[in-house]
Amino acid sequence: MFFWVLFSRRQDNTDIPPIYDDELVDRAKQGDKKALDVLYHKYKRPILNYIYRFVGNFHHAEELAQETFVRVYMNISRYEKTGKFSSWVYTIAGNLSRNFLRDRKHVNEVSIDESITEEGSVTLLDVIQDKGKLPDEQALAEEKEKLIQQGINQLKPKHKDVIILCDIQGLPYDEVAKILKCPSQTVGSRLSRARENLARILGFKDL
Amino acid sequence: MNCNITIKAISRYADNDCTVKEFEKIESHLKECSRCRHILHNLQMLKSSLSSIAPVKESKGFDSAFFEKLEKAGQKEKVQFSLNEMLKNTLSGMQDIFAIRAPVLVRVAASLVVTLSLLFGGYNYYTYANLPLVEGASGKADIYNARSREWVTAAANMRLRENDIIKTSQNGIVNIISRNKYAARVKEGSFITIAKLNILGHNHSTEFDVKSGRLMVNTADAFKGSNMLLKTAACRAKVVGTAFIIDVDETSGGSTWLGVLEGKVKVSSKGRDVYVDAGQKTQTQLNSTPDMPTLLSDNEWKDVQELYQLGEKPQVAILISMQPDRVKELLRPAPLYILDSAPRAIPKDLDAIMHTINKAIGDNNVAAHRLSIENLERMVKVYPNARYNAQFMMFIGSYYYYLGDYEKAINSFEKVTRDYPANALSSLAQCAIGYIYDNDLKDKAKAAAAFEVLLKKYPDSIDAKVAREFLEK
Repeated sequence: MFFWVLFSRRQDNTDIPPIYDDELVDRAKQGDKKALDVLYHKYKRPILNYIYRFVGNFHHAEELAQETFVRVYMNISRYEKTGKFSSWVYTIAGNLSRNFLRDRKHVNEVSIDESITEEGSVTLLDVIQDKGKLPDEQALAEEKEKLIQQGINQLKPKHKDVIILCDIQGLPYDEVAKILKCPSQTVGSRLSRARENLARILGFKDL
Repeated sequence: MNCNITIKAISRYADNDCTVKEFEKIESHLKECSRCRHILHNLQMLKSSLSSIAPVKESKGFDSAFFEKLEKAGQKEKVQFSLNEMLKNTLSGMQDIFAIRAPVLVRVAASLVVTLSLLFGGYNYYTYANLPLVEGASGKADIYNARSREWVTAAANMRLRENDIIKTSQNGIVNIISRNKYAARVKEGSFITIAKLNILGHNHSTEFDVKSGRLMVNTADAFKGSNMLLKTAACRAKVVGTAFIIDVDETSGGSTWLGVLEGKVKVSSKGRDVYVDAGQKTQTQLNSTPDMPTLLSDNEWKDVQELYQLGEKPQVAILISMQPDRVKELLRPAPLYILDSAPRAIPKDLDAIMHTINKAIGDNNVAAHRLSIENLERMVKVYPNARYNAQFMMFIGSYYYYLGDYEKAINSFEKVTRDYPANALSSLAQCAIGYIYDNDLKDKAKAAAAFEVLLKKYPDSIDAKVAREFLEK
């Protein structure tokens, strides 16, 4: 029984062996493709989620996430370890997402100032406060997520970055600062501004 | 808010990201101020809503699609290797190209990145800063040091003086830079003596004795007023602000071939002067007058284009993907970035122009767009620089296209193909002309004509595929 537990635990851990990123990066730089594959599997989902929240479209997010990792694989030999590997991947993903949105903005002429909170429409506050109306937890969560995503879609890219990285993904300020290549105080003030804007878009009265 | 606590402070308080002092200050304020308490409550609600968003999972085929893309990219990289090498050379010194923070001038495309980089070379200003510097050497290359009277292996950072000799044999290449005057490359199998070198004052004068081999020279803007003379057994070539190649064949007694990429070279022999313009070549046999200049052949053009790799001079670069349908990328919104890490060598006007374009985008003001594009065109006219004119004209062309002014777009692209036929972008410009006629002006006859020109002039270019596809239809 004891051995079985040990065995099963090891099985669970095969996805992410307990090796530090740095070591994997070193191996990858020496041409060990498997080390890179491990890093890919470790970060594909956080990166996909970051991009998805940023561009607001799942299909495009998948394409951009794949493109991000193609660049990681192609450039790993030239990558210089100055910070965390994950920060580098996030930076690539962020740049690709920004370029993508910039490209589309001009093509589709999307107006970003249009508020989603028209008179009589449901706001996020209604959804989170009035739980009685939507007893189904799943439906509630989905509705909430949809509204929040619509709100994020209207933020400026630099505000999207901090909302997604700090508040949704829960990364610490200093790591976000490295990804965005700015001082961590800037992250703090940008985050405060971003929350203010998002709250306004989502229909909070005060903030 | 009437109290002296900012939302930013409350936001940091909510994140536990403040000093003890700040913390206590906010804490005591919150006890008194119901409005701030309300703000904190809303903030916490927003934070918890955001953190509770469930992460999405990738779809089933995600991994296999990724590895397929990766494989394709790997194959493509092999093809692109030589191009990338070339770009890397051109962009050497532009290491922070990916750390661009300047505002977007206009229009975006993921794969078309117009990078405007204006750098003065980062070579060191030694005491002998004006002496020609060996920027790098590879293969078998030696230099005869006339002062110590010995041969040494050519290496980076060596300074060259009068009477020094550069000798290269198999695979040997020596790159030379003379401050901001010129860059030169001595190719394999060369024997070149620096016969005269006067580097005092603003204008330099240099004389190379080319006994055999190949020398490529590319002069910078600051060359103006300086002299460069190349002497071969057969002729003398005087440089008149230019980029060119001189080839001396020792086996035929020093018969000299000279091809010019930009500017003009005066070739003299037996009392006869011949001016060789951009895109032309001339041959001079021993003891005879130079041949009349004729146009460079396609293969010679390719050779001559190596000149674009020389030197670290102010430059504008367009990075364009190597996809066969890149013409569509060109004609899609594209950004123009300015690198601001190095001293600018571009007219100040560009800053003002960028500013108006940025503003025009914000205001969606077509009139302002037109004004700025005209200013950009004027700038190119007033400050002609063969190094980046073609790139600017490409940009102007796609900008006109963006504004829906197809005729002017075509005009710009035509200027590129006419004035810079050897530029790596010319095939793309020609392709764009065909594309606009076909796609936007619906003039199939003119489109066909343009594509035929493309196939004739640049049959091996990647853009030729678009032309072939069109003509097959």
